[in-house]
Amino acid sequence: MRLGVSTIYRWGRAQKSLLAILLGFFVPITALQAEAISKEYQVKAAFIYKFLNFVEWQSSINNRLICVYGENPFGDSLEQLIQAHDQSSSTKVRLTKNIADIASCNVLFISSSEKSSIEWILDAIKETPVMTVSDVEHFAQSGGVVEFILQEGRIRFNINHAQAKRAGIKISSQLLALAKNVVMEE
Amino acid sequence: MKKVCFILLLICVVADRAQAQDTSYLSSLAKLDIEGLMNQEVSSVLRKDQPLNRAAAAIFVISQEDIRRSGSRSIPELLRMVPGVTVKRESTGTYQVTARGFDSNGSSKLLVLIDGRSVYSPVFSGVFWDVQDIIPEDIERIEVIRGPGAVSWGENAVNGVINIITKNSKDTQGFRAIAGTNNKSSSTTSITYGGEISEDSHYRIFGKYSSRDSLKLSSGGDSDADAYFGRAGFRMDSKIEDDELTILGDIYNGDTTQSVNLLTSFEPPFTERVKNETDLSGGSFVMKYRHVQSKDSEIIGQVYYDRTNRENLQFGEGRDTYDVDVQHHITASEVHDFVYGANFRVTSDSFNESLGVQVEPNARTDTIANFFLQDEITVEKERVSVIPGIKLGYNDYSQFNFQPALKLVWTPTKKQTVWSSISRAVRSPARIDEDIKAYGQPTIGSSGNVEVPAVFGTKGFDAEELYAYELGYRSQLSSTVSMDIAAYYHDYDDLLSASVGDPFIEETPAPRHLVFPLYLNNSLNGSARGIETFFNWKATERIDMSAGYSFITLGFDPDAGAADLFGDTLENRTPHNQATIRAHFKLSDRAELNAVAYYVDSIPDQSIPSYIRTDLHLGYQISDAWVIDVAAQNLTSDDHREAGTQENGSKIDRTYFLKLTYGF
Repeated sequence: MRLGVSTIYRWGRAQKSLLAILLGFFVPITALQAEAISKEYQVKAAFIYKFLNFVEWQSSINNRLICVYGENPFGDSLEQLIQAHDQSSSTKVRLTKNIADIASCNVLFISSSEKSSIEWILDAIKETPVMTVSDVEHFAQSGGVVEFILQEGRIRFNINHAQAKRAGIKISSQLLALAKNVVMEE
Repeated sequence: MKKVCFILLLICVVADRAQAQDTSYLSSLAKLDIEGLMNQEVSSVLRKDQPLNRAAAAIFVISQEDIRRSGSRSIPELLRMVPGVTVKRESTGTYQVTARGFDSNGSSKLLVLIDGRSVYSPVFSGVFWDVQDIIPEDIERIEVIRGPGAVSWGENAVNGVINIITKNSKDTQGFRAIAGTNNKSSSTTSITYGGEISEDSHYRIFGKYSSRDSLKLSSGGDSDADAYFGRAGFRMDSKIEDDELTILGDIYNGDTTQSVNLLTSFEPPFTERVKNETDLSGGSFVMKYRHVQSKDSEIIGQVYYDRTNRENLQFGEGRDTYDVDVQHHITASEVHDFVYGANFRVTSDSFNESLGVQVEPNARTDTIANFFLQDEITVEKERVSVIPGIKLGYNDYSQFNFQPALKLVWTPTKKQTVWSSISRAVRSPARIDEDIKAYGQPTIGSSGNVEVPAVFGTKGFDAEELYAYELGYRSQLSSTVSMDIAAYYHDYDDLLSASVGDPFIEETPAPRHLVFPLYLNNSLNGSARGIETFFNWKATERIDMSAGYSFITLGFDPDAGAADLFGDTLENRTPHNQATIRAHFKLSDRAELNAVAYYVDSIPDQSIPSYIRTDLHLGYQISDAWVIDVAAQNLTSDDHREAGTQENGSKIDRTYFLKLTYGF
């Protein structure tokens, strides 16, 4: 049977339904994009980027190094945010799975893929001026500086101020006021 | 950046441009301050906070996104996507909605709540969907539970519970006007305004007006069922430290007109074809207070008043309902989590009768009281829970009833849940079962006398009873695919039936006539069994697909010695198989395309063949303030009928919709 225009007009109800279903539910025919970065992590990246304005490190050098340790959930969101603000910015992003790389970081995001190593990572760098950030549960209690939590579909954060002070990082009171929970003393 | 390309070239182009816009979300984030970022909603409230995946019931949630994507204009249309629920459009504004069978009884075994207020009509033992026209954009979510929900929900949660929750005023701030129309001369306009009383108190007020032109009958004529409807109301939400106060109120007024054969006398020609105009009006006031004592204990109290008026040439009902409900949820220990509460309701009505429909007594006040207790016992932490529960009820008709339930939840892994439930639920008698007297079509008998059939309610009508055995499985199969399947066996007893009585002569109203009576009784029993399943596939960040399927088979038998009057109808009125496929495509940050296809099996009893219905909906955000929605309903199927007979059933055919939303 040749598929001419006239043929379509003679199609019965079932065939018309099938055509409509195909039109409505077409299958992508080329490679699908690898899963796009979720809203959640785009927003977390924006938070990390904004935190830079509220934190002072003792070192007076301008260039900041943001490190992501473990599986990278941000895609290139951090780089895009930096670029969008200032093309020639000296703030850099480093993705690493090597523990030796983290000592020189100013901000260290520890991915949930490294959940089991969190305790000893934090222990290793607790005197180093690194602002540790993660969304692993109980991160702040374990000695992390900033912990992301999800509350009613929105992102909130806890700050372990005691650890920040021990590490020599100064966090603005404005940011502390916005935190859900602040750990003051151990 | 890879591309996504579809068969229809048009979509390919749009999607391509869309990829470049993906970063616009990120750049908008860059402009926000910390507080602005904290306001971003990154996931559905439900998936994180509510332990829905651990619910021991066949629950389906219609989310805000589902509502927006479907472009739906009414609640019954939204309910079509729920596996196990059957929705049949009878005419312009009237629908039959049931869960797990019993289609001919008009939702007699469903509990339908809007913000905690029951909208079930005790005299018709059903729900009048035409007056439940909440603005869909103000609905937060609709929870649909198939199967008995007797213990934790209210009266009549036998075959299911439909819980409609509107949005918190905090989430509907600003001004929004919506105007919609279709190619069948129906239109709806609504205006909502939300404001702030203080940092912790918000409100919204709304007004809605709709007019619906009647559908055509499948036999060709006009169904003459025009409808006009206006509604206005408000909602206020206050946060008082950790507590929450919510106040809701609304009033409505409208009329629908339908051509009917009205019984006017016992002299030939007996009936007159009239344009029966039904006046609808009513209002409600709900106040709810949630007191959070600690993270382990909270008390919720609610009172409401509801008024409904429904009047036409055949009957008129006015009803006032007063309801008080208190619940306490307390996590007593690591093992026991209790919920218990009490409900007290007084409902008072008065009727205007006509020749054809009489209610004796024509005014009555009924009292209903319930107490329930449920304990979630943790047998193994985050693994196994056993949930016994019981509800003790009292009503003026069948006095005391007892509805126990035992449920089990087992989560073998974080991503899987197995649940099972055994429960007993009752459908308490309603006015219609005891007090009704309704005449059918009179005829002239062989002896020359006027003969007329009539249905009489029976004093002492018993509650209908259900024992339900259910089993379900829920699983997050992968990061993008989830599935839900439930199987059930329902064992019914004391179902509404009737016995044929001896004919008797009635002198009044004159002329004398011979009445062939049917007396309502509980002489039917039966069972329903079936499966409901649902899959969700989040294919990419922009594509979401879901599919649902349900199967049901019913069988009914009269008790020994009783006549089988309704059994066959009940068995054959519910379509055996139903399926739904939905697909959502986020074309860009501004445009979305949604497609749905429904398959509904045939109803041979009424000569309704099976049908496939396909809907398409395209939504486009023209600017920050304007959104346009274009939809086509029933694109492919020939005109079909969903309920009623070939003579009086309405024809459901292709409809196009246009909607404009303006908001700031």
